[in-house]
Amino acid sequence: MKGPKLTRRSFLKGSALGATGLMLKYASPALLHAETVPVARYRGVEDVYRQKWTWDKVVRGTHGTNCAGACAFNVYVKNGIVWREEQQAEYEASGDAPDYNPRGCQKGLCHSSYMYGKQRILYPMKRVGRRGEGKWQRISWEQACREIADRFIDISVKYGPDAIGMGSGTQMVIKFGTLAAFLRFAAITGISVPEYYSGVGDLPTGAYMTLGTPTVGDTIAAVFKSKYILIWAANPAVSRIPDAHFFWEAKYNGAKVVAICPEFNATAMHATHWLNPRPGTDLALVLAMIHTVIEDKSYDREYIIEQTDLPFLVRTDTHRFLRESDFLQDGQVEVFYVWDQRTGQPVKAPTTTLRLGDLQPSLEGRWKVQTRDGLVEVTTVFELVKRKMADYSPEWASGVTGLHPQVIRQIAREFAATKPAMIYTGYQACKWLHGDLIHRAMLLLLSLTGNIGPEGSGLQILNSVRADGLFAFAFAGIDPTLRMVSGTTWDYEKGNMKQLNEQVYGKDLAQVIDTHYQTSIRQGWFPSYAKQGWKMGIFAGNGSPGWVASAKQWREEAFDKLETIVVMAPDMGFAAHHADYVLPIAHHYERVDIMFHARLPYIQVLDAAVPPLGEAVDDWTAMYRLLAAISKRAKQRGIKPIEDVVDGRTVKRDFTKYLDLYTMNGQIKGIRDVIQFVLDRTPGVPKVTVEELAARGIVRVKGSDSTMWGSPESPYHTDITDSVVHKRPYKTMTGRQQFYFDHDWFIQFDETLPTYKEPLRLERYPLRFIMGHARHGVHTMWRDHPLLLQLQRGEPDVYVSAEDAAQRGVRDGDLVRVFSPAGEFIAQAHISHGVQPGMVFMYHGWDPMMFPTRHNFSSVICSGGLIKPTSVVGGYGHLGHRLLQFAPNQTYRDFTVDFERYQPVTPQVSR
Amino acid sequence: MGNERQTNSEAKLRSITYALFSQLTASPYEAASAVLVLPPADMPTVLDELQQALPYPVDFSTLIEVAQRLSSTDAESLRQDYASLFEVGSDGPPLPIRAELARGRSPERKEELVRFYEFFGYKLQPSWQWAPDHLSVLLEFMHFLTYQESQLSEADDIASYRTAQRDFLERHILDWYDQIPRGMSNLTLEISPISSTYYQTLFETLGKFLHLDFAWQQKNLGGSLRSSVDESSLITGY
Ligand code: SF4
Repeated sequence: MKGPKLTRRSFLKGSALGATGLMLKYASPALLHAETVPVARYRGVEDVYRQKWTWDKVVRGTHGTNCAGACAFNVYVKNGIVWREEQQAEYEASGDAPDYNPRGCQKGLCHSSYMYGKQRILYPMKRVGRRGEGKWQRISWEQACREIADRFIDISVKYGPDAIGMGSGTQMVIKFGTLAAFLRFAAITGISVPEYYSGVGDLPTGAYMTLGTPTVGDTIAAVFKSKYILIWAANPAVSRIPDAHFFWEAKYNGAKVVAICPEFNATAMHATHWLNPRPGTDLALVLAMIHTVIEDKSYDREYIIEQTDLPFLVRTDTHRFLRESDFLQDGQVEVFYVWDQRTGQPVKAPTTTLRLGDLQPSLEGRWKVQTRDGLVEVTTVFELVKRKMADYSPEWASGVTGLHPQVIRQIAREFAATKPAMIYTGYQACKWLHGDLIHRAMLLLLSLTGNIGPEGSGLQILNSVRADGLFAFAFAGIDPTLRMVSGTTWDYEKGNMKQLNEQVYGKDLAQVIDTHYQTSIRQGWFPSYAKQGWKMGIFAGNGSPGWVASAKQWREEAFDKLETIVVMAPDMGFAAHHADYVLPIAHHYERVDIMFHARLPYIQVLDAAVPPLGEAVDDWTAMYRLLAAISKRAKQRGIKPIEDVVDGRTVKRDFTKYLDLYTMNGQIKGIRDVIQFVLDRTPGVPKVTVEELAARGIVRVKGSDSTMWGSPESPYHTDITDSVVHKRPYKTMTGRQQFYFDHDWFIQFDETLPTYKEPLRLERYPLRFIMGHARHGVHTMWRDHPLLLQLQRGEPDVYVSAEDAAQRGVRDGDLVRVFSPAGEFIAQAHISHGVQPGMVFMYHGWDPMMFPTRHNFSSVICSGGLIKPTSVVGGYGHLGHRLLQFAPNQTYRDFTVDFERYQPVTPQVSR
Repeated sequence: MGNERQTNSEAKLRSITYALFSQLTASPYEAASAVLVLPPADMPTVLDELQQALPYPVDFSTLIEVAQRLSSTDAESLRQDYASLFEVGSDGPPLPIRAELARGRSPERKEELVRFYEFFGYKLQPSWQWAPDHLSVLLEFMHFLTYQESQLSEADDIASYRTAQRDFLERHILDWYDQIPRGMSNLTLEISPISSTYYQTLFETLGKFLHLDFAWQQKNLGGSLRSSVDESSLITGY
C-alpha cells in the first residue's frame, strides 16, 4: 500500500507554517529516502501486537565482572536493544564429574535491564562545581581527551610519569583483551599501576610461602571428586552461585561438606556440618586440628618426608636450618639437610628432585652435629611442629573459638581419615593481618594428611591463567618497563597510614610496622614510593576509593589531594562523583572481549550485542583516544621526550610516539586485534579466531580432561602436580612445601611455623566487623539495581545479633551508626539470629553513594596501614618483592567496632 | 473535501508543534553548533502562530516571553543545566528524560513502544536505538504520526492515525510525563536562574499542550473507536 510522500524541510523555514515538511532527527535516514511510507491501518493497540516478535540476532556474551563466573549467555537483541539473556548451557563435563551446567546467577540475568538504568554514564563529563558537588558539564570526547592529555603531559614532564597512578578495578583486570591493552598503555606511558591483588587483601601469601605459588586451585568440578570438603572462610552458595552445585552434588555423592564460618549463611544451611568459631579465630581451629592429627599419628609419613621440609634439620641454638654454610666457609646457604636413618648422619636434601633414592630421612629426633660453630644440636622441622602444636589442644581451641573440643576432634579425625579431602576457601582469610598464618596452617593440615596433589584435594582458592599472551601484547616492540606498584604499600605511603596506625593501634605498634617497612626498603627488599608524588589518578574498570581499607584516611590524605582525577566507568559511583573528568565506558553487552576463568575449562567470549549506549566506548578505545590526544598535543606543543628511570633502567618516553606504540604502528586496529594477539600466544588455547569464538561463545581449553589443572598442556599453571607426581622441587627456598621460615624476622615474631596470633581488637569497641561477598551484587556491580534491591531491604544493611541490638536499644529496621576510631557509616540494622553476639556482619559492595552520609563500611576499617613485617621480608629464598606473588596484603579485618541507634538531626549529605 | 482540508491543516499544525517540542526537549549537546542550543530564533513567532492556529486554546505566551529573553550568552548555561537535569547525577539524573527511568523497569512497555514504531514504519538510527523512550524521540514519533496524518485523504486512514496518536500519547507519554514538570518545581539541584525559568516554563507548557492535545483527540475521536484496552489481551513477545 502506498502512503504519503515524505520530504525533509528545515524547521527554521517553519514559520510559514504550511510549508513545513517532515523533520526527523532520530529516525533512520532511510525513512526519508523512502519514496513513501505505507499507511498503517490501526484500530487499537492490539494491532501492534499482531506481528510475531522475532529477534534480530542472538549474540554470545557474559558479564565481564569479577564474579569469577564467566557464564556463557545468549543475549537477545531486537531493534538495537538487548531485551533479555539466557544461559547458553552447552558445557561438557570434566572426567566423570557432573557437567558445568547450569551457569549463571540472578545478577547476570537482569543485566539487560540494568544496562539501561539511570546509573549509566553516557557522555564525557567535566566537573564544574566543587569536587563531589555533583555539577557537571557534558563535553565532547575531543575536549575531554585534549584537556586530560595536557595535564597528563604536564605532570609527566614536571614530576615524572610515575606521578600518574592508574588504579584498575576488577572490571578491567578480568577482561583479558582489555587488561592487555591497559598494561600496554601503562608500559608505554610509565605510569604507576597499583597492583590490587594484595591491594585488596586477596593475595594468598601463605600459599606462596608454602608452595611457591599463590594461585592454587583446580576446576570447580574437582570439588565433586572430593570426599571431605571444608568450606572455610568462604560462602560459595552466595558468592559462587554458578559453581555451588558441585558442593551439593559431591554431598549427594557421599562427600561430607563442612561449612566453617561464624555466621549461619546460605552455604552453612546446605552443609553436612556447620562449625561457627568466633569471628577471627579460624587459625586456632586449624591448629587444633593439626594437633589432633599429630596426636593421633594419623599423618601421612611417607608423603611429608618426600614433599615437605618437615624432615629438614634445624639448629636448636639458632633456630636456623642446618645449611651447607654451617659446614663449609663457602658452603651454600640454600642447601639443607635431613637426618638419614640409614647412615646415622646429616645428609644434603636432594635439590634437583624430590625423589629420595636411598635416603631414609628421620621425622623425629635430636642429634648433635659438628659444625663450623662447634657441636650443635639439631632436630627436625617436624619435631618443632609437634612441640608447637602441643600447645594447641582442642580444649585450648575451644576456649578461643567457642567450639566444643569433641567437635574439633571429630572433624579433624574425619578429615584425616577420608581421602581425598580439600579445603575450599576464598580470599577472606587473606584479609586478616595474619592471613598468611591461616593459609600456612591450612596447608600444613592438608599436607600432613597427604592432601596436596591428588584429585579432589588441596587448598582450593583460584588458579590463574598463564600470562604469556598478555605480556607479549603489553610489551610487543617496547621496553618491558611496567611500573606496577604494591597497592598496600602505595596506600600506606600515600594515605599517611602510619598516622592512622598511631591513632588507632598506638605508637608502639605503629613504630614496629614502620621500622620494619623502612628497614625492608633500606635493605632493598621492597621499594619505596615515598619520593614519588601522586598528582593524577585515573580510575578505570570500576576502581574506586570506596574500597580502600581505611577509606576515610586514604581519601583525605591521598585522593582529595590529587590534582586531577579521571574516571573511566560504565556506571556512576563514588569515584565518578568525585572526579574532574568522567569518561563513559561500554557495558558488558556493548563490547568485545574474552575471559578466562580457572574454575572452568573454557574460554568465554563477550561479544558486542549492541553499540555502546550514548557516547560510551570500550576501554581500548578510551585509552586510544587519550594516547591520540597526548601524541597530538605533544606535537602541537613541541614537547621533547623525557628520560624516565624504571628499576634502574633509563627509558626514553616520547609523547609524540605514544599512539603509534599503542597500535603497533597501526597494526592493531581495535580490541578484536588485541584479543587475537593474546589468544594466539596464550598456552593451552586451541587455534581459534575471535569471530569463531564469538559464534561459539565458549571454547574448551587444552589439557582439561581431568578436573585438575595438572596437564602441562593447559593454560593454567600449577607446579603442584609437577612436584607431587613428577617429583620436581617446589619453587620455594627449600624446594619443598615449606613450613619453616628461619629469617630473623620470622624468629623475632615467632612465626617460623604456623602459630596462633589473635587478631587485633580495639579497646572500647567490642564487636568484630566481618564482611563477605553479596548475593545481590558483584562488588559494586548491580548493587544499586532496583530489581535486586527489591529482593533485599532496599538499602545498605548490617546484620547484628538480637542480643547486641537489645543491649543498644536497637530494633530491626532502625538506622544505626556503626563506628570505629577510623570513621563511621549509617545503615539499616538487620537483626539476625544467624549472627553471633560480638560481631557485626555486612555483605559488601555497597557504594558510598548509597549511604546517607556517603561513607560506607570502608570508613570504619582501621587496619589499612597494618603492613605485616614478615610480608616485607626479602633476600631470603623465594621471599622478596614479587608482585602478584609475595607482597603485604591490605588488612581489612583486624579491628573492632560498635554501633548505636541513629537519629538524624537534619538530612545529611556530605561530600 | 472541505473537512479533509481542515483535518489536514490541523494535523499539520500539530505536527509542527510536536516537531518543535521534540527539538526543544532534545539534548542541546546533540545540536551541531552552539547556536542551535538556543531555541530557533523564529521560535517565538512560530509558537505565536501555532497558539493562534491550533484547534484548541493553548497558551504559549509565557514560553514565548522566556524564549525571547534568552541571549547567546545563555547557551552554555542551558547546555550544562540540561545535562545536570537529565543526563548525569550522583544518583543518576535528577529528572527522567526517558520513560523507563520515570516509571521503572517495564520491559512490556518498552516492547509495546518498539512495536508501535515498527507498526508505523518508524525506524531509529542505530545510535539512537538504545533510547526509543527518550522524550524527544517520543515527540518525534508523534510528529511523524501527525505528519503522516496530514498527508492522508481517506477518512479511515485519518481515523487510524488519530487513534494511534491518542493511544500512543496516553500509553507512552502522558503516563509518565508529568514527573518532569513536577520534578522541576521540586528541584533541589542548583541550576542557573535562566535555565530554571526556561526549562520549567518549557516543560509546563509542553505538559499543558500534551494534555490539551490528548483531550482534543478524545473528543474528536468520539465514541467511534474504543478508548480503553484490555491489557490482559496483549501478549508480549519475549
Ligand atoms: S554475573 Fe557472573 S556469575 Fe552471574 S551470570 Fe554473570 S558471569 Fe555468571
